[in-house]
Amino acid sequence: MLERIALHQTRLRTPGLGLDAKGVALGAKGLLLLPSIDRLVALLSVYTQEHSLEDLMPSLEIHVVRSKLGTREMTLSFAAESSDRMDRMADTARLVGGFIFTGTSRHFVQYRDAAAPFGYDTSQLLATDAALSLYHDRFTQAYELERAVPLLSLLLRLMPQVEPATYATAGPRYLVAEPGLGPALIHYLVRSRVEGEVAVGEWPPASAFDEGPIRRTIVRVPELPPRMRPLMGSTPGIVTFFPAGPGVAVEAGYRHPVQLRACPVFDPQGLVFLRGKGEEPWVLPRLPLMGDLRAFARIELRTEPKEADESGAVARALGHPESVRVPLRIVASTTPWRSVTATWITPQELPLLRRLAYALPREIIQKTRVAITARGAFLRCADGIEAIPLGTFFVEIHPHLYIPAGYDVTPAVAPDVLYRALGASPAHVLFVTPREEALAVEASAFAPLEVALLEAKPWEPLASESIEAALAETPVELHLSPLGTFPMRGVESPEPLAAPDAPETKGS
Amino acid sequence: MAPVDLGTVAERLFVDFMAPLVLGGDVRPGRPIGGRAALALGQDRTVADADRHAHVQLARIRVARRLVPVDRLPDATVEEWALAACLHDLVQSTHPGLEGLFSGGAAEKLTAIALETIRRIAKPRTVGEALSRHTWFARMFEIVRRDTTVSWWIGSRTFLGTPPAPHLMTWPDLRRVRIKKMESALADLPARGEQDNGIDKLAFSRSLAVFLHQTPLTDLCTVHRAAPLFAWSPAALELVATRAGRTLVARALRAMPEPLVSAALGRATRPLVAAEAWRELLTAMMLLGHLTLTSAQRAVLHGESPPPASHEDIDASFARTAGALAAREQMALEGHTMPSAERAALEAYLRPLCEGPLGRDLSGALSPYRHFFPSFFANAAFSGASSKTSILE
Repeated sequence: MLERIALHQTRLRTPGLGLDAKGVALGAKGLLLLPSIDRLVALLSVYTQEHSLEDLMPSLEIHVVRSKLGTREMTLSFAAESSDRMDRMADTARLVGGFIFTGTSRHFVQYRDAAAPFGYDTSQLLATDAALSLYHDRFTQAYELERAVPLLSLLLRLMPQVEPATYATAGPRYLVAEPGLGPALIHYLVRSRVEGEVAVGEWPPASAFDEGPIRRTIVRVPELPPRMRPLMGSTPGIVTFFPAGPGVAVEAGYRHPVQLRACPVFDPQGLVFLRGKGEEPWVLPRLPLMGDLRAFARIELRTEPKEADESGAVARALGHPESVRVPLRIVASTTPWRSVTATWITPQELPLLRRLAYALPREIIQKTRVAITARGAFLRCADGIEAIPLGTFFVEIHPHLYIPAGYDVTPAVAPDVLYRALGASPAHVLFVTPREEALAVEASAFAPLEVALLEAKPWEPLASESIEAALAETPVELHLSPLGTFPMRGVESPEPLAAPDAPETKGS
Repeated sequence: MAPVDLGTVAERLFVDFMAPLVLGGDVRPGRPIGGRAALALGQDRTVADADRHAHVQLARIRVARRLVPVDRLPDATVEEWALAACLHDLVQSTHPGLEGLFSGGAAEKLTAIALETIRRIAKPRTVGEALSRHTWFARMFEIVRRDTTVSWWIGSRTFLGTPPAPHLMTWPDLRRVRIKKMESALADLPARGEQDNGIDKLAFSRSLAVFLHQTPLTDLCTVHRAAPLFAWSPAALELVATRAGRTLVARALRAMPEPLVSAALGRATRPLVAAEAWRELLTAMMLLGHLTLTSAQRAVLHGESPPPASHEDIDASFARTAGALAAREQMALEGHTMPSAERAALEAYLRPLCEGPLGRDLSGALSPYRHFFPSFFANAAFSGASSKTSILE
């Protein structure tokens, strides 16, 4: 029932189907038909490796549809907008064994492929009241919508896959401690001088027999020392989660099948902890107030003085103190460069970085992390950033605090003091530029350079030529010829049986 | 009326219908044969074209050797000649030449004669006979008719199984000629291009089902066909009830996709539970048990777990569950011959299937007949995939 659209063809039969500027048949919507939910997950997984769903989200709908025979399949519909977007989706759909269609309301025809570069049009519309009528060169099928599947609930129901390598991953993480373990964990982290923030999350009781809500301690640690990582992974009652995108984190040792960073469905004001082993996720609709870990350090009180000494042990103010605050200055220094581990590449220099990417060794690409901001790209590499000779180099003088290489800070305060004076949270990485501005970049925004670097080229599917089997069988083809004027002449029924148990043929 | 020359009819039937059905190529059915001639065709019949006959015999042996190591097969028997003639007439009942104002319901009459003739043909008495019939008709569902619809600016015409007339395709641009080609499989032969005709597709499917009852191995080897849907017939149950027949069927089914086979067998077996046909159900379960035990051995070897029961694929889940129950019974009888580790692994694989909701329901329905199981399964005496039973039963 499908016809290929010819060059310069203008009239189309399918309602809602038009031609875009390239002459490709395109409706307002694109629709993917997938035979099962695992193919849908595979599609999302493959698509989000390279592209974000952000531009699709306003129009994205997932439905379970049912054919007349009762078979259930999945559809994913979205605004088509352009043939470039549809081509991208078609490539992905072909990879996971789905079919892609385009249309506007009910009638959807197969989207263009190598056999029909301008797409397809149907020669005859299905006379049906079904919600969806799909026309493909292999089938024509009507479907009823059975139910909608919200993307968020699908992502929450997907069980993370085991990925033991994530235990050793560096970068920010959340530690969630069961009631009773929280104070001990906080004390341990404070004593070990680990930077972080802490909050207490409340979840409703698991059953009516519980006395009250379940309170768990949540610690956000920008960088956990490597020696502590195995301990946090193996201590019962403490679960480690890695941020997987705004508002969502995945348990250490697991990986979500879909790139959650590409799915902006989670509320950034809240937090969802996706847990492994098939357990229900922990959802916080609103992230509670987080306080600096150091505020929870153990305190000790001196013995109370017997009497306030009037003789001079207590200083008295004689007047209003004059302010001694001076602005921060960055001055050139002659001290040799040490620990140059970051660089800031302005937007004007980004084309150079792209050209340089071809010459970078694999090890550097693997170890470097990058955050793209409106002010340019910030690159960090713990082993040294000199291999990327671009931008303004920075030296790390304190965890998450960088100053330009070859410069010093005046007044010459301790790095820790400077860090606290700048008032940034541990979730941010601070860069003090030579112009004495302080730029804060979210630690979670740093992603591996190898992920950000490669722009995947659209691939061209090549059909393999089939090798003829040595024992190939010829197809059985029926050819009809005229039967003549009296085709039934001489056609007789079998002779009637003489007796009920008379032999019919041999062996009867 | 001039008497029918059976020799000419048989020669034409062999060369134009039976041989291409086995070897592949163009099947060109001729005038309808009728029941009386069909039953008499094979008596003392020898094919004149010896070369063609030798090729056909080689191709039949090739079909048979997919299931069992045999080196020769007998020539076509009287029943096989008659069955071929009946299939020929069933195919011709869809011929557009039998329709028309003065045809007098010729298509329906021809179908009725063919069905009456099929009922007169004896059922296969041995597994060898079932295999021999299968070698003739194994490719019957590969029959394809290429239809062409030619439309031009004031009309259109459909050519069924024949090339379109050349004059209709002249001046294609001026006359706006459009040619549409489509293929019709055996069960779709009553279709007339995009239109329907007087011949009921469902009735034609039922006729094919009646034909398949005469060649049960073909019936079971094409179990996942789209139409006619597989249903247990007495001949198929008799074939499966023998150890050798069950081995042949299991070998054929193992080569097909397991979900499709399970769905087809489950769909056919569930009505036996509803009809409380326990003897037939247990016979069908023996085959399912054979298949499930083989799947379990393969899964245990690869460390896989059984597929979960699904409401959306209830037929396949039923087949797997019934097979697991039967496999458990068999292991209770013959499991002592297995190494204990293998037996424990198989039992662990079968347990979730047997103890799931579907397994509990089926066990409950079978419980009044459970005391028959040991003797029934002991008589059946089936075992795993390594059976080397001879077909000479």
